[in-house]
Amino acid sequence: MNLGGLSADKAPPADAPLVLFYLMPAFMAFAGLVLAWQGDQIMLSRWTPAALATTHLLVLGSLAPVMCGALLQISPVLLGAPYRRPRRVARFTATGLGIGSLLLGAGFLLLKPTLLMAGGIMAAVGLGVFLVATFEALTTTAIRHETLWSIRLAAGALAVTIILGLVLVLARAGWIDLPKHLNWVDTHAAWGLAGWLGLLLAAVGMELIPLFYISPPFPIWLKYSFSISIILSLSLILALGTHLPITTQILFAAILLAYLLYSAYALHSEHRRQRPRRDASLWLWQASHVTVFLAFFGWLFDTSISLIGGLLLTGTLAFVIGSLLKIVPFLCWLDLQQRRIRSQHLDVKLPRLSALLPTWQAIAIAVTMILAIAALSGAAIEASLIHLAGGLLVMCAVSLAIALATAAGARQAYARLLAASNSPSD
Amino acid sequence: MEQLIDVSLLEPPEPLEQILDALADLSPGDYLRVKHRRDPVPLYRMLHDMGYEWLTTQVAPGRFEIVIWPSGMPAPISENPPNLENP
Repeated sequence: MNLGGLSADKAPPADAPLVLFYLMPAFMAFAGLVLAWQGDQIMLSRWTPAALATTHLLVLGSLAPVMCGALLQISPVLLGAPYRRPRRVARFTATGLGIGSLLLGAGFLLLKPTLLMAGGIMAAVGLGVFLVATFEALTTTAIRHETLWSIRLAAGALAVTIILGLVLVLARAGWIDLPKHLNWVDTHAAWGLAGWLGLLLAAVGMELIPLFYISPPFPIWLKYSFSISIILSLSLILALGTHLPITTQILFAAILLAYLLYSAYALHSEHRRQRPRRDASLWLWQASHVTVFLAFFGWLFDTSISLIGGLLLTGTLAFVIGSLLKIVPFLCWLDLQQRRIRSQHLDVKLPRLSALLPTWQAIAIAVTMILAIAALSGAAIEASLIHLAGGLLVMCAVSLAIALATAAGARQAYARLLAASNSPSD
Repeated sequence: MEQLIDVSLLEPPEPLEQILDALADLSPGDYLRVKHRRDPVPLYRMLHDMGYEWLTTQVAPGRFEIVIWPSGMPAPISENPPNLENP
């Protein structure tokens, strides 16, 4: 990507993505609590209410808002595709996802179809608004680029995931009849995890890793073939429906292999970086790539599907949190710089990036997250470790909340200082 | 007098941070030469709003030099002019 084409002028106001980012620690903590409390049930089957609640709390409450917030920020700056009303889109999406995830989590845990229906609709409306705004933004850009192509495919995958999710909610509420509906749950999960989250994260990762660590760029052929193979496999799975289960299994394996290839190349690229310094984000990104291999070995050795899913989800969380540790201080710093320049108070010294996100906070987040992944992997041998993984996830969420609050507090304090310097009494 | 900083191996947004710090420390009559691995487009709007002018030259693939001076000051004559043409 030609970052020479970066356009800071088109960046949305900082509070638009931040309002979405703030949802993450809360729902991560809820999911961690369910894991610590109902871990045994979750290990037994991925169809247990606790497993379904944890999945939706993590995916819709924690990951989806951050992905939406990141896209809100990245699309205008990197792809020249600004959203028309970023603040309104962000608040609407955050409200839909926040309330929707709470209701879905409660609906699964309390076995209340009404809550599930309400939660599904709230989340679908929140994501639907975001999706419409995204398609509108992406059609306005004149830039032609492989990352834009992948983001469009990921947005399409989100649309399919929402539709499948709503169909499943209707089936669960008894409004429609869906034979072999568990197969459709797999298809819904595959489109959401591998199509929306995975594709978007990989597309962004292929840009962020070389950018932040000055490592060799990902080859163009990998960028195109990765996204095409994922979407093609998912489309075939959708088209086959409940027919040819063996072929469907082969397609799922093909998707996992594509992610293995991406993860291997990402590790290789990080290894060849020119910036030798290791930081919390690098640890988290590398941990996320390693979890794909752990999930693969788990699949080879016929480990519990719940555990494989849990590993892939925590790996996704690790990558997203690693990215947040880069993005949040940058957003706050850029916002303060722009305020300082606008107010012409160039004498006001702004905080260093390290003050917006102290290193010890970033390390605490990375260590708890990596330990959670390790405990989850260990649960393949000693099942009770899943409770520990849940507790560590809660600790990581608390550390993340403290870090986000530190950055927000520093931003507000300096914004007030600049506003006071600008007041007529000066 | 020329002040030189090399931000080629820094991660975003540290190059921006260091360039703005270096500008704040410039003495009257000084100008800044920055070595960078990218064309730092987000910087330019800030420079414009802060009252600076600049000249960017691509010295080689992945190597840029940006000369920055206060508006109103004559464009500095480079002490080590890059050999290649402007991009």
